[in-house]
Amino acid sequence: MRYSSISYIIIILLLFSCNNNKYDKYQNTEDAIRIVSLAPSITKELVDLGLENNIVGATSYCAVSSSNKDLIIGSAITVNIEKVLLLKPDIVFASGLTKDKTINTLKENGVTVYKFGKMTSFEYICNNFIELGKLVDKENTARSIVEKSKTKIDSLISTIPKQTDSLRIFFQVGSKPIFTVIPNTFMNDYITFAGCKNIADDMTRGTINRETVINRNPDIIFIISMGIEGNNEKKTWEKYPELKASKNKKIFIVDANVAASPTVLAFTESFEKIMNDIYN
Amino acid sequence: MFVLLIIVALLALSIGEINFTPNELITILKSETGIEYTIIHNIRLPRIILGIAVGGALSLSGVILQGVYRNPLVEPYTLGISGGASLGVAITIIFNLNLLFGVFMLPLTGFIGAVIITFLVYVLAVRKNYYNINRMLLIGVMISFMSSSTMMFLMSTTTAENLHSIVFWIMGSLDEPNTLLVKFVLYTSLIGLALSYLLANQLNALRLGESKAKHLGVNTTFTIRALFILASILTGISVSVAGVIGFVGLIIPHLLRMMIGSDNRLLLIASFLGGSIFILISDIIARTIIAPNELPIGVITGMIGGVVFIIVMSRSKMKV
Repeated sequence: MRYSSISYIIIILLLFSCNNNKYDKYQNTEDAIRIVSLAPSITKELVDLGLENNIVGATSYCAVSSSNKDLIIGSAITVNIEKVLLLKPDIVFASGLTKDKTINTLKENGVTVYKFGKMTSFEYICNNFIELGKLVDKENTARSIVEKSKTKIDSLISTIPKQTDSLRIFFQVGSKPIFTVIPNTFMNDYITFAGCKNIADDMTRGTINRETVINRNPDIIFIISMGIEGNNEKKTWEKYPELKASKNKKIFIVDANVAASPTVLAFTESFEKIMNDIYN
Repeated sequence: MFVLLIIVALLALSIGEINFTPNELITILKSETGIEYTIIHNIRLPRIILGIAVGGALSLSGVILQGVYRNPLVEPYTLGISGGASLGVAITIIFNLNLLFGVFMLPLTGFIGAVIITFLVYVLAVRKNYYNINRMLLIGVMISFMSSSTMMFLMSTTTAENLHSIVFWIMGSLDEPNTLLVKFVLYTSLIGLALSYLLANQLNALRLGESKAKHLGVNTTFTIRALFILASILTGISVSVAGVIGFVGLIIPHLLRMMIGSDNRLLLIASFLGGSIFILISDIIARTIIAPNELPIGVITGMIGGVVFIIVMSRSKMKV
């Protein structure tokens, strides 16, 4: 008998908690395209294309969500499917991190979903950006951004001084375990565009031994900012005076929000800073 | 108990991104169109059915295993069955087999993994047709550790995308868009319940110990074998579709034993219903506590289950 009274109380509380205006925040008031983005980098690209007001759903990590909590439809990995359906989006952009099950559920319930592939190079990011532009009717804007960025990158590349030996770089993107940038990822382009050599260019997996790094003795070390871990790693590398990078004080921290973000503009911005760190 | 299940199921249907009153539920279900219908019928209802099936199957499996082993710490997870299923799924994801054979591949390989482990435990523990229950338990635990280590090895050497898929699969989720699969789990679960009733009396006899049960006329060899296979199938199916959801098979049988005693004829159905209710409540909490984000259901079952269990145990004067 105790159980049934408790359940009745719960139900009654529920009834009172339902508000009448529950559909308000899903109102579709304009004719403009409604977009849901399931990855922070995609959100950034949409903002770059001038579509910030068309984003009706974004992850909790997206920059647009910090000012408008109503936009949140999940994290970068889990998606609140009910909310996405209620928002009635015209198109949903998913990333490689989004679960296939989620994408299938959305598609089966009538939502258009476009999934981005692996960002293997800057060229891929550019082509993807133009594809994105086509899907949201901003192809010309996308193309012009890509043109300007490529011009800027080319002009930076032309400033590379002629050297007999290319500088050897170690680009760290993880600690415990140590993770390095490897070929066939867009971050490797930071190194190759700058005319340098990645000490891990023979590797197919990113986990690397600290001993191996010291053995390969890079001239320059870039470390992605992982909260305070980035600084800790820098201090650790500075403890090895035989390391060329340590001797020449060429250990730099790179802002993860910009450098690790696979968007055209973020890449260009990071590349400029990285070139500056290498050659100045 | 059954009434409680219905109430909780209704709650689960009503609560989510938008809360519905029971009246609204009826109107929406009758109308059969609209976004609310899609949400209730295509998203929440399959989740609830899967939750009932999985919760029931895991608890049932727990009762059976605890009855066979007469050990309170026994549940599908500690015996390595969940570990085997996880290993099967990890191998599929890494070698991309799911792309070859379609969407049923993951649950299938999960199930095959569970069955292989069961077979291994069984073969290693039997000597000259003689059962040593404790031996089975130890071997099960060891195999569970071995599966975990093998999984860690696979996870540390694979690509980032595969790693994500594996980790999220392990965390457990009632999200399953394929309604055929959901129905399959439900039917297996219910059939398992029915089959367990055929052996309920023998399970009661086993509580006295193997030799005493033999003297009572129970064919212990056949009974233990059959029960073990049943428990493994129930677990394998649940884990392969919903991922690893721990503690259900451990806590629910114990709690119910404290409430209604150890007679398996009552305990089997009570645990099934109890497990379903527990999973549904955990799912509601997992969906709403940090909305719009969602917690993996294993987190909630572990935390709530553990806390509730400790509270009940410290109040109870009964021995476990």
